[in-house]
Amino acid sequence: MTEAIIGIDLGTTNSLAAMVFEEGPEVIGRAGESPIIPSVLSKTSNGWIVGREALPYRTSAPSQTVYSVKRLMGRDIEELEEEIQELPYQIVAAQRKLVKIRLGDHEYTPQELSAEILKKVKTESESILGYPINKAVITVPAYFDDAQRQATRDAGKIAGLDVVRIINEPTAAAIAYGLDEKKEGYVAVYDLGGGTFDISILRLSGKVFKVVATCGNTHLGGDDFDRALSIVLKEKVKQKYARADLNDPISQQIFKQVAENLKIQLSSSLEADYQIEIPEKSISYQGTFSTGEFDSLIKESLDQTLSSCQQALEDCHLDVSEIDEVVLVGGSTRIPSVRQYVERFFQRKPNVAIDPYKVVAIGAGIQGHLLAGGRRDFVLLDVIPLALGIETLGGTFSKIITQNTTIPTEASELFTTHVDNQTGIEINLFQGERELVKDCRKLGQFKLRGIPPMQAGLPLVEVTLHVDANGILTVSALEKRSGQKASIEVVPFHGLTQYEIEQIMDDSYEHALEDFNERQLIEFRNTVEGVFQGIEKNWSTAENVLSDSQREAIRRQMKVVEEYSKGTDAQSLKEQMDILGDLTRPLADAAIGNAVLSELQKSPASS
Amino acid sequence: MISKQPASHPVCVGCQVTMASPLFCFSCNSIQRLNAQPNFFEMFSLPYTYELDLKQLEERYEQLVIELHPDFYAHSTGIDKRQSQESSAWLNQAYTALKEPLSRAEYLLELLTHGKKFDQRRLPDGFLEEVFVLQESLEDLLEDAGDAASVERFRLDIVQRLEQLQTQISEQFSQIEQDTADWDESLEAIQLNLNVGRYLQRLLDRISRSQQT
Repeated sequence: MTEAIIGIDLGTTNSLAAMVFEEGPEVIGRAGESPIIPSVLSKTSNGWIVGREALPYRTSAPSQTVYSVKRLMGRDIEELEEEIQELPYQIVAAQRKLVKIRLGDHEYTPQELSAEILKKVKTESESILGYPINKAVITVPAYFDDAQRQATRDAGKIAGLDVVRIINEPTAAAIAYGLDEKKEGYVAVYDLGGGTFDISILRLSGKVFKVVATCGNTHLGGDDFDRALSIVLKEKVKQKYARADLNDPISQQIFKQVAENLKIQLSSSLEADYQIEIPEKSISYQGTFSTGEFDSLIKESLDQTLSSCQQALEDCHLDVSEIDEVVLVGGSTRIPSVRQYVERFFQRKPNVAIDPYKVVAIGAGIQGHLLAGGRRDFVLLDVIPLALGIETLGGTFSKIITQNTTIPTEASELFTTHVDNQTGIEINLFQGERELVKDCRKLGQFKLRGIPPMQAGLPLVEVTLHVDANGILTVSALEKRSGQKASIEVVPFHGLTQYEIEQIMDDSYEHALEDFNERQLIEFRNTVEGVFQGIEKNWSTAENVLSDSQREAIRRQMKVVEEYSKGTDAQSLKEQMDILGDLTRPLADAAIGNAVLSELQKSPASS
Repeated sequence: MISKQPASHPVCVGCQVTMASPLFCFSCNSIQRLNAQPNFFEMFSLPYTYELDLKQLEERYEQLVIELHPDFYAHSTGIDKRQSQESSAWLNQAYTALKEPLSRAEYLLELLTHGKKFDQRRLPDGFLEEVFVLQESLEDLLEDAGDAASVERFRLDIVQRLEQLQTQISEQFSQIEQDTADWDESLEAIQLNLNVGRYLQRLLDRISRSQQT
């Protein structure tokens, strides 16, 4: 076994890490605490606040607080009209139709913000595990296209992670189940998360986990249910407070949160009370909502998910009766009516043996274990979710690699010149399922250069599209008559160029102090643990050499250190540890020769 | 040419044993370094035939895919790492092509004609007109959104026609195998059937796209 590779479920609303321990695969978390890191970050004068601590900032500083950044990954300004309307932070257009998020006087790419979440996952994991983590498997919705996958990989890079593999969320879930229960046959994974919906159908046979069809919608999820619910709540409040303006960011966020809580309550009871308090506007409203009302709000979305399921079955020529198992993934599958819909459609009870919140991260952790060389008893075969092709005459889309093709794969197409002595050709590359390129996603423009001068129509340039196991595309070209390799310049339309990634990484050295603080924290926290153990071990000696008040002072200071070690300030933690060191010096002196205690006098980084 | 046996028996550069697949030697467990993509049928050690044993194809694919997948070469040398990318891509490409009857026919045709291309646009007399009529009536059916049953009937009709086409193609290939017909004529007839198949497939794609949106 080489270096550990963790699995990260980088979700729209929540993120989570997992890995394979000696006892088996499990999420990385502290006992008694939720391992979930909300995918929320807020920019404050003291730097980034990420995760659970950032949640309150959604209402106190909505324009500085970013959530659902996954929805923006790899997308352009024109595709994001809806998001721009509803998200409280400012989304602006940047070069090449890219989007940036403006927070104060700075603009950030979604990749950079996503990277902050990944950094949080990384440092949390490191502090729990007690050793550095450099490599990760990151999951994405199966329906993510090339640009969205590239963006995810770039976010990992910016966060200082070597993203050894990108795998699809439903596939990760299937790994977790398949290996756990040694399943064989066809498994349908219904994944309804915060912002995306995926259905994947896999065939499990012996060592091979093969995705046979995948279908979905990158714009359908729990966030939509919250939105629908908050619109209804707003209308109710409007009836009582007709003149109130409820569209400011703070009110919007309050409605969103009430809606979110209400949705969660309605998952476990038939009706729930809610209360909307907006003190600034002297609004105080109470009401009751029933699951019936809620179900009718989300019915249309759920019907859409089922037609995707139908489509996936057709794509792999299966009848619903041939599905041996249905697995639920994603927080939104906790909604009872979602389960009923799925059960009715697949005519069987869905399997929820593994917590739908954790299952994706666990699957990614298992894949990480495999990549680290920990096992080789299964192989995961994913598919390309949308066809790849090029623009041909009249703006039509000519598919070169079709949807649901197992990856890695490659395919070639021959091109020629139209003018004598033409040495370059421009090719526009698209991804999608529609007939015309205008309805597909433009991935980039490829400029073939260095074609030997020949009569028009004579050169035969073979362009090869290669899709790797992560679903990421590379292109190469060869002029067949001369055997000369044509060089290709790729102009990505949505992603970042290598230069831009480097730029961001350079910028992040400015935050090196911050990072250093985090590294130190991890180191100090580990020392605290050792010191505490040392004190406990020698406590009987303390009874003899220390007065009651001295012992009490040590106990008190231990509590203080414990508090600080939960905080984020390494320097203060060190100061408090130094005080503890001073208090325990007599004890250490008394126990001279005791290696552990003398160790404890070596307060970190003080030597 | 068309035969029950693969044409060549590749030998492992490492242990000199004759291999079932040019991609991987199961005898000394080593990935083979190749410059060009091997023949699809030979990759699976399957005879050049249209009536392929799909179960065998599946089994051999699974045996090879777990040996070649890049996930298992993460710590290998650069050459083997690249080769696993390339060989896996070739393997998947070959498997996809051979699995579906029409793409299998297309590949086999290409092998048998040694790259000499028959007209890929030629269609039987009157077929294009028929397709236009079919296309129009399909668009009408799709516009009439409530009429899912008629769309399904239309779809089943096309599926049935495709199946008939495949039966014909199968007979044409078997005539070539048994040498009971003029080769060139049979090959050209297969090409014509494949051209028709592409149009029918496009109609099916149209239906599935309409259901997706």
